[in-house]
Amino acid sequence: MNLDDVMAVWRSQDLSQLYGLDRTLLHQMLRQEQAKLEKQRRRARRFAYVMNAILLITAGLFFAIMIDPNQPPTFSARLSVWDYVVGIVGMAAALILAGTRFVARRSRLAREQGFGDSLRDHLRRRITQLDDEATGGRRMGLTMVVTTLICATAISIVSCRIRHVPVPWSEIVRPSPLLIVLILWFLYQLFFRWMPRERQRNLSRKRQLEALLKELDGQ
Amino acid sequence: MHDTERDRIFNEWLAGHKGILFKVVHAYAFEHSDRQDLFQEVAVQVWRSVDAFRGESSVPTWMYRVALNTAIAWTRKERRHQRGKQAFEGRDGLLTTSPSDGRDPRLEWLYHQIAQLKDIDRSVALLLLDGFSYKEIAGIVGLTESNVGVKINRIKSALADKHMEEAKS
Repeated sequence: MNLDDVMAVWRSQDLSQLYGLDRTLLHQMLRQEQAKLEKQRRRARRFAYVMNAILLITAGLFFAIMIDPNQPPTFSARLSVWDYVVGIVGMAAALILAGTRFVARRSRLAREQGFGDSLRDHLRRRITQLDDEATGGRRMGLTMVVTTLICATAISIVSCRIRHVPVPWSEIVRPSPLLIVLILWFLYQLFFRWMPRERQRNLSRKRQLEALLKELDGQ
Repeated sequence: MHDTERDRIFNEWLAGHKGILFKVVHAYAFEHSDRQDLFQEVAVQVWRSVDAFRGESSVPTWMYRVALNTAIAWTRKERRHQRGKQAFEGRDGLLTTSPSDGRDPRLEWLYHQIAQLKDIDRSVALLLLDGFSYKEIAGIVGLTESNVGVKINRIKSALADKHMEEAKS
């Protein structure tokens, strides 16, 4: 038996397939898999909301402690203008973070309402979403990361300053070089590896859907 | 990606290329229950991979890549867990056996020979038989082209030797 014979034998299975497929069971299995994926996504979303709420509440609480008129005069006296600046910046970052998330969700829902239920509308809706993700994803990611970092840093500084015995500015612990390297590595991965890869994926999906839409329009 | 969209693409892929999954499953698992198990795993991985498909390779190449990676990982996992393995005999399976009437008996012989090869060589053999070029095989399996060439020569001579041996006896 030479290679051509072997190839011919091999190709014979394309005419008479080795197995049949129980499509009902297959779809049932995929539904289970989909439910699992949905659960993971829901968890990730909830985690993001909870973290956001924790940052907002902590920043708000610390700022409220700083401006509380019932605090003894010695407390206000030992706070400098920079403490208030840090508190305000932390609060602002937490509000921007929550606001960005809220506005993004609202505008996405509003955009989706403009489309109907037909397959063509479904495709157009998805193309718009992919377009938004490809163009606005980087800006959105940058806003999220920067505001989270600013807010977390402000909270840690303010927590040192509003203690019973405040830590002097000169002694506030600077982040360790390892932490700085880790943060920089994460930012590099996020903006130069993960996001461009995701963008490429979205653009490729968009091209496929546009071709499908063209095919539909031609029918 | 929306789940309906993922399902639509997956169904399209399956309709056109399910033979690829059958071949990989048949080459890497030998018991009926194992084949059911591996097929399930491969199908899920292909379904999950729809998101990651960027259109840089053809769909059959992509499906082969995902299926072979899953099969090799499954084989290693199976070896590790052989002792504690649960019996799947009673479970309903996704694969139904097709009637083998009219199927060339040499095909089973070929699968038997492929089964004797090492994991990676098995992948190379499947891809070679399905007409992929050396370059494509190298890309899918993650070897250099020259390494693929060496492996293919060895596979070819092993097959020829086996055939000669059996013809003599």
